[in-house]
Amino acid sequence: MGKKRKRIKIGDAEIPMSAMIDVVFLLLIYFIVTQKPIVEETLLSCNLPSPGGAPPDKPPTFLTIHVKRMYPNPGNDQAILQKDLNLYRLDNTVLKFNNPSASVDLKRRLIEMGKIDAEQTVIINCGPNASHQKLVQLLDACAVAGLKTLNLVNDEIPFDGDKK
Amino acid sequence: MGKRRKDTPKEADVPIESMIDIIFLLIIFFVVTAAMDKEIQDVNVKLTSAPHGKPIVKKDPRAITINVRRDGSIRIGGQVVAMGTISNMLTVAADKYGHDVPIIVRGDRNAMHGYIKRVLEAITETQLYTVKFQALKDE
Repeated sequence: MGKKRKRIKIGDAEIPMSAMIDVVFLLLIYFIVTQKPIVEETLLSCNLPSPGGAPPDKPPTFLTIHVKRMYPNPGNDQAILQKDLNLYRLDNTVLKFNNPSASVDLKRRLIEMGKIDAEQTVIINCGPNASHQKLVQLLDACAVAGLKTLNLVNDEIPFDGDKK
Repeated sequence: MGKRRKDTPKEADVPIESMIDIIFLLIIFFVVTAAMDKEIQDVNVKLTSAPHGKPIVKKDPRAITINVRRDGSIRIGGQVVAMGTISNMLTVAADKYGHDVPIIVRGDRNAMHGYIKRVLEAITETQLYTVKFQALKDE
């Protein structure tokens, strides 16, 4: 009597799905826990003062912007309110940046200047006690106006940062 | 009558153990490399938003990122560095990659410009005259 051979059916070949699902879920949980929202970033270029260099044949057009921190008057009890008050001075016009309308004025003014000559040199004179935020916001406003030649110079006034 | 041996087909198994090994190796690789990337950017530096700047499409691999915290402490690659060290590092970088090596300054939005100014002075000392300030594109 011949032996009966066990025939293997196609359905017998099984992949161990349960283990794979475990791993996949672990991976999923890991990536969900560790994921952070993608924050888009930007870079704002600026030239720094270089020593020497030949003077240009004709004087270039300059637009100078001062970024300074305004100090409260002595004895003024609004020191906290004025702590972060930074001003932009533009052609002898003092503009409060923290005032939204003044901020718009500065941007509008820069856009006008950019339309006249986008290649003109912008000199940004930033005081050491002004916050870095104001400088970046000014560079952003220059980007809106299409002004590309931005030079950053440093104000030679005492720095309060070391007095803390 | 001679017996005829016939090869019986074995059950077809997918080698799941080795696949898991490979997956874990990949995970470890990505975790390690992601952590290295994070070290460049100091999470304690709160950037200012600049919605009108051009988005970063591709980063120059030569770029040197200098983080300036609110208190003025400076970090490069996750390490606190002194001012003298910055000049030396930048000099080495400029010699190696040329004077067009991009310098990215990540300054905290509440840091006083005086702290940033020190870094800028160290950059100009090494005859590098272009700097990029990093900011957030989103509001």
